Amino acid sequence: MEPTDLNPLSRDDERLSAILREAQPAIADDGFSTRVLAALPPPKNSALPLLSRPFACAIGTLVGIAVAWNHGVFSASFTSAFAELRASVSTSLATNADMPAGPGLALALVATAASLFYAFGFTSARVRRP
Amino acid sequence: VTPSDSELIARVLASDDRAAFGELVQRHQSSVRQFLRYLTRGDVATADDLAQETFVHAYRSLARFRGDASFSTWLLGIGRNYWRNAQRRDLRRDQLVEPMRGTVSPTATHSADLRHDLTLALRELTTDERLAIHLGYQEGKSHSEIAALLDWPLGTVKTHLARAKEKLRHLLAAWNPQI
Repeated sequence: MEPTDLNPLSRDDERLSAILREAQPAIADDGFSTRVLAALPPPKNSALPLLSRPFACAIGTLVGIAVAWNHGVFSASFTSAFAELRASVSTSLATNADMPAGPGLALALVATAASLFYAFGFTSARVRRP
Repeated sequence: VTPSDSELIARVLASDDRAAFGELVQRHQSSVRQFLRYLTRGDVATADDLAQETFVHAYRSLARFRGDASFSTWLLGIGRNYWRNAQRRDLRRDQLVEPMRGTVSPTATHSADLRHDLTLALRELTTDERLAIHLGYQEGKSHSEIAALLDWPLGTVKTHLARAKEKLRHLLAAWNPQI
């Protein structure tokens, strides 16, 4: 029975192979491998989870506090001004609990809620792996 | 010592070694891209896109590679599946590059001329014959590997190879009358 897998090359076959290989040399990589590696999914066990949004927000907050501290934001005058603002907001909320105290406060609350939702809203579902 | 394909695959699976996978891509990119260029009838851009998808798929499913066939045969099988899917998505693709009919110069003497004549000669073959010749004589695949790769009966592989060789023998007689 004729072997089918061994595929023994006759001299004619070898000549044909030689001609084909000579006429059609290997394709140069030319950055193909690099493109493939760039298209691969991100590594599983990398530091990427640490760069998730909550982590980035926490880092940003700490950096912001450090910068503010460096510029004297937490000086006595600022602290007292902040206390006055807080008292004013508390008073407004206490006297008119159903409505925000003016458009500025409403805008601030909406911005805060949006920021918190952006930072933490989708994160747990997005990071979870199957 | 150059690591074998199996060793590189083991490194990718064990520690997600991207450099090892890059080495595998570099080793086999020419074979996969050439194969897909045959399937797409010379549509280089489409072939390279499919080749990239092939390697990304191979990376994702590397754990399922059992080593029954060689790694290159496994890759070519993935490439063929992507080509088929692309054909289904766009049936016109098969008609984009019609094979050109040409005559072979019997007086050509240089390598570039050989390349040119062979290109013309290959265009005289049917797509199946070209594939069989490419896999059998350029990639060195066995008849049974070609049969498995292209879902052809073994007899069909032999028939295509015999017909292709006969045509090439005639078309390339000027280069080597003994073929």
